[in-house]
Amino acid sequence: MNHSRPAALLWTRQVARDAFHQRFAEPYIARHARAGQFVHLLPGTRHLFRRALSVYATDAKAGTFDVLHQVLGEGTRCLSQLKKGQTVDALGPLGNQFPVPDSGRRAVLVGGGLGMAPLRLFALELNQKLPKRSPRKNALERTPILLLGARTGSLAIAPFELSGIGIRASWASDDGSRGFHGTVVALLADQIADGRILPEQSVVYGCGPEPMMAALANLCAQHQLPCWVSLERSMPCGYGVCMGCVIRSKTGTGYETFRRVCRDGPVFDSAQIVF
Amino acid sequence: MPKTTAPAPDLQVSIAGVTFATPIWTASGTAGTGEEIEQWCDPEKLGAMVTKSVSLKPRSGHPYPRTVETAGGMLNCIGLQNKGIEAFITDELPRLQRMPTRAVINIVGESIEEYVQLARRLNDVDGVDCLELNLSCPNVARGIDQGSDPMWVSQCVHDVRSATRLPLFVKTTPNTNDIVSLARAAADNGADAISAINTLVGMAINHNTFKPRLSNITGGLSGPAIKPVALAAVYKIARAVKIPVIGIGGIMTGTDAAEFLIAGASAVQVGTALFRNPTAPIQIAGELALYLRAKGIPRVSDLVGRLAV
Repeated sequence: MNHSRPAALLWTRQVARDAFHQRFAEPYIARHARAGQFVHLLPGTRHLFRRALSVYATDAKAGTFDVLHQVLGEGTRCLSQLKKGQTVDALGPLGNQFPVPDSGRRAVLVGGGLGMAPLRLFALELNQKLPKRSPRKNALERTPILLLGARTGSLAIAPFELSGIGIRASWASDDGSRGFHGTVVALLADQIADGRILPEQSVVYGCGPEPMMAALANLCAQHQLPCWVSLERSMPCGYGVCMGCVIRSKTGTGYETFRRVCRDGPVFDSAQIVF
Repeated sequence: MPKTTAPAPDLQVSIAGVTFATPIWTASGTAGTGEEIEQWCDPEKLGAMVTKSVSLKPRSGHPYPRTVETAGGMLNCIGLQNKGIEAFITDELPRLQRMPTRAVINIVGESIEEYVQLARRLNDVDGVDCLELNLSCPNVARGIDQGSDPMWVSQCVHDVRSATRLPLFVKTTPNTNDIVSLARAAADNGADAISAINTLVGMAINHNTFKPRLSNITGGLSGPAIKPVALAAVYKIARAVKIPVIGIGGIMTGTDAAEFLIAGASAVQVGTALFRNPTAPIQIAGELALYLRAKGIPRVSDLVGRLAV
C-alpha cells in the first residue's frame, strides 16, 4: 500500500517577490518522481487540503526533492514560512509525466513564470536519459531549446544547473526588460518565423498560466506542431477520487467530457483540451 | 508473570444480515469506484467501499471550478460525473467483486422509474453487496426537491424495494426541516438502513470579482464543519426508526467515528477526510480500535447508542 510520508525542509530560498525554492528530504519521492509529476503537500494541521506543486528537482542519492512556488494564499504562505527541519506530510509523486520526443524531434520547452519548474527537470532528464550511442543523431533530442517568459525581468527565475550542461534559456518579458519584448509564446512564434525552430522537427512542452497554455496550444495547432501542456488546477485530493480538478476535453463525451488534471494529467496533448 | 494484553477489539458489524469487517466505510463520491483507493487502502481493512453515484446514462458533471475550501470544510458541485450503469457494470464491478471488501453501490436517478431500473439491473449481476439510494444530491436539478418530500421518498423506496432483493440503504438529505420524517418514510417502506447525512447546500463568493466560487453557484458543504449537524441528525433518526443508521459528516478521526456510534450509528462513512488523506479510513479504524481498548469496550457494536443522557 502506498501512503503519505513526512518530508523535512532542508532550506528555503526566496528567488523572486513571493516566490520560493524549497528543498525537502524524502527519499521515496526523490527516487520515483519524474518530470511533469507533482507532490501534494499538507502545509499544516489547520489546513484541510494539500497544495499541489510540480517537482522542480530531485536527487535520488541525497534523497531530496525541490519545489518552486509562489505565495498565493494561506497554504503556500504557511509552506514558505516553514523552518529548517520542520516536516510537511507529502503525497507523491502523483500524476503523469512529460513523454519523451519522438525520434528526430527536438524538445522545445516553453515556460511561463514558475511554470519553468517541471520543464527544468525535464530538460535534465532529456539530457541524461536518452541513449547516447549515436551522439550526432541524438544530440538534437538531448539538448532541448528552452524559452522562458516573465512579466518583467525582476520576476525572471533562472532554472538552476542547466547552463552547466549546455542548456541556455532564451528570455521573453512582457515589458521588454529582459530578452525578447513580448510573451514567451510570441517569442516561440518569432523563432518559428525566422526558421530557428522547425515545426516538423520539434515538439513543444509548455507549462505556465492557463491563458498562456491556450495561446501556446493555438500557435502549435497553426503550425501542426505537437504540443504537450502541463496544467494547473485547485486539487482537493490529487489522486483521482474527488473529480474536482477537471478540464474540458475536446474529444471526450459523456463521462469523459471532463478529465481529471491530477490523474489523467497534469500533462495533456494540447489538441485534446478545450481552454 | 507475563504481561497480559487485552485482545484487539472486535470491529465487525452486521447490518441487514451483511457483515462488515469494520464500521468505517468510504462515503459515496469520495473514493471513486475503487480503482484509485485500492493503491492506498488495504481493502481487507476497509469496512465497505461505497461507490460514487451511478446513474442510468453517463453524466458529464459540471464545469470547473467544482470545489472550494471553506472554513472547516469544503463545497463541491461535481454534478454526479459518472460513466453510467452499463459501463459501470462492465468496467468497474469486476474489480469491486475482486476486492476483499463489501461493495455498496450508490445509485441516483432522475425519477422513481430510473431508480427502479437501476436497482433491477444491479439485482441481476454478481458482486453487489448492498445498494445505497442517493435521494439527496444537492447538485442536480431535482435532487433535493424529490428527496426532501416524504411522500416521494416513500414511493421511491417502496418501488425500489419491490425491484431488488439486495439490502437497501437510503441516503437522506439534511436540506429539509424534518430529516426524521424522511428516514421514517424510508424505514416504513422497506429500507434496511438510513445513511445520514448528505451535504448541506452552501455557497462561496469571491468578493474581489463578485463571482461565485463554484461553476454551479451553489454546492454541497462537507467536512468537519458539518459534523455537529450530522451528529444531531443521526441521534434523532436513530431514536425514531428501528433500522440501523449509517453516520456521515466530517469524520476525520477515530473519536469522531466513536461519537457517531455513541449517537446511534451502527457504522460510519468517511468522505472529505479521504481528500486530505487517501489512507484515512484505515487510520480512523485503527484509532477507533485504540479508543475501544482504552475504554475497555470489547466490541464496537457495544458502543452503538451509548449516549449518556
